[in-house]
Amino acid sequence: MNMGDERCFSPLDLSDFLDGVANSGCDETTMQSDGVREVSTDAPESVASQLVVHGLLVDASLHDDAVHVERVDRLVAALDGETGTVARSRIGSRGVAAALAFATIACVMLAAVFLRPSRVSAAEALDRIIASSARSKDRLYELSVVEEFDQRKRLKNLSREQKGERREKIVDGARLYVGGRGRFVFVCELSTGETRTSGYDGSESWSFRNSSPVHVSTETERYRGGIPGQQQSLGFTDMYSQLESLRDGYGIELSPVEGTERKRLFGIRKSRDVRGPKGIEIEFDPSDGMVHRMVLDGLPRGRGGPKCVEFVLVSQDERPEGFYSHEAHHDGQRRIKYEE
Amino acid sequence: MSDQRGKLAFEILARENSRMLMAYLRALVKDQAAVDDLFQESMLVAWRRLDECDLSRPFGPWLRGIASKLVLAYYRKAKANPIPLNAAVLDHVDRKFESISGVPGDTWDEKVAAIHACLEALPKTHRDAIQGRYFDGVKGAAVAEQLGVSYEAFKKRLLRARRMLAECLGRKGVFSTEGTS
Repeated sequence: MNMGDERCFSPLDLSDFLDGVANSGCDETTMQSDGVREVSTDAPESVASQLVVHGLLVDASLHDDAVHVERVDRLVAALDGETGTVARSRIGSRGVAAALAFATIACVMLAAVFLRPSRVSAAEALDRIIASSARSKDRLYELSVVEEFDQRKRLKNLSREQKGERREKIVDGARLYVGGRGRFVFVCELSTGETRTSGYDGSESWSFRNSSPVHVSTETERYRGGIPGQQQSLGFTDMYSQLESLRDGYGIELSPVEGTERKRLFGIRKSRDVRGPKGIEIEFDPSDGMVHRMVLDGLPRGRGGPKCVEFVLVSQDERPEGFYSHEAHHDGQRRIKYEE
Repeated sequence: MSDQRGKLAFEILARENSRMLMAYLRALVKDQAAVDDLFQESMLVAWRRLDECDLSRPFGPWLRGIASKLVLAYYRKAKANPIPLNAAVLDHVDRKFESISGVPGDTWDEKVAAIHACLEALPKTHRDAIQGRYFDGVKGAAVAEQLGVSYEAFKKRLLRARRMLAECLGRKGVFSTEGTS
């Protein structure tokens, strides 16, 4: 797009942008056939009016106070992770002379910061990971079970309902698509040979099996139970909301991953009072916070599921629009059951 | 100013301008997930470059300047050019948002409250088109069918309705008087 491009454009261009494309291309004949020219082709001010009114209307229709507060809180959390960068830039702006004068002291201080195992740097890394998870970038993780519980002990401790649930879900090989803002699609096989697909599209939770109706609910947490760690207050699909749980409930340490640019964050649960797995290992790219691998070890057995699960990033391909809604995963003939 | 106080000051500015920035981005970008990302990115870039901001002048125009560059970069990256967002159009969009910021009112909702009165004042056919397009969550083709018009006619009706709203907002002093037609 050329900022210096002062050319004008037809009402149809603008209409297509604002209200969707019915016809492709710019059909001047169609445009003028009824004699209506809503926007002059030489009036950027009129175009601006249309855009601003459109923005105000979209904002009026979509604005939700709670969502907006969360959006700004997410920003403020991300600012914490950026503090170091800003501080460094301000030090730089004070001038070369001052920098030289304090060079020796600064070297000593930097060495002290980088050579000790720093909880602050681990916390900043965690902030970066969480900020990355909150972005609307599509990611696909594949799950594999690293370790199962002893089946006899486990079955003995489970209720009848939980036993039934355990027999159905096969986490190994399951796929988790994450799209930011809590959106996800989780696909796992069932012992019956069927596939269970569940998800959240930003406004509705949904779940269905091959042959079943689609169950839809406005409760955001309704169908997340199948994802390991999710039920133990460690929301991989919405890691931002679990910030306090990870930061306060776990002792975290940062270390390099040999042979790569990545970093590894280890988290060890501080006490049994903290809900969640005993140990968490997150391998991530420090440049953008993208999680490439995550291991949840020592998952509580009380709710079923495996003992240790690994999530591995297999794709960052952009998903088509509407991918996180259930309509994208079944034919249009499926019965929809809305649940309270 | 210490970093902590600087962060607090920025947080106040960010909160004050957050609704304005969302409306600005929603005016220029349709994909709401992208709007969310651009909101975060604009604010973070503003935070990183706060030293470059003249805080004796309004923060909003500076923030919109950052956001507009990120919007253009977003379209470049997507290899999409849905409308020619040229410098003249962006300049007029910015002026309108600056005009809104001068409207009396403590909150963004108070500053743009006139749009509701303007909506009420629209002819019913145009009000129904706006209602269906923006507030009923129904796809455009379905709204057109409900209104008994072709999709193209529906889109033209929307263009007219938005123009009427712009004129109304101009009369009420929300938009500057540089002309709204």
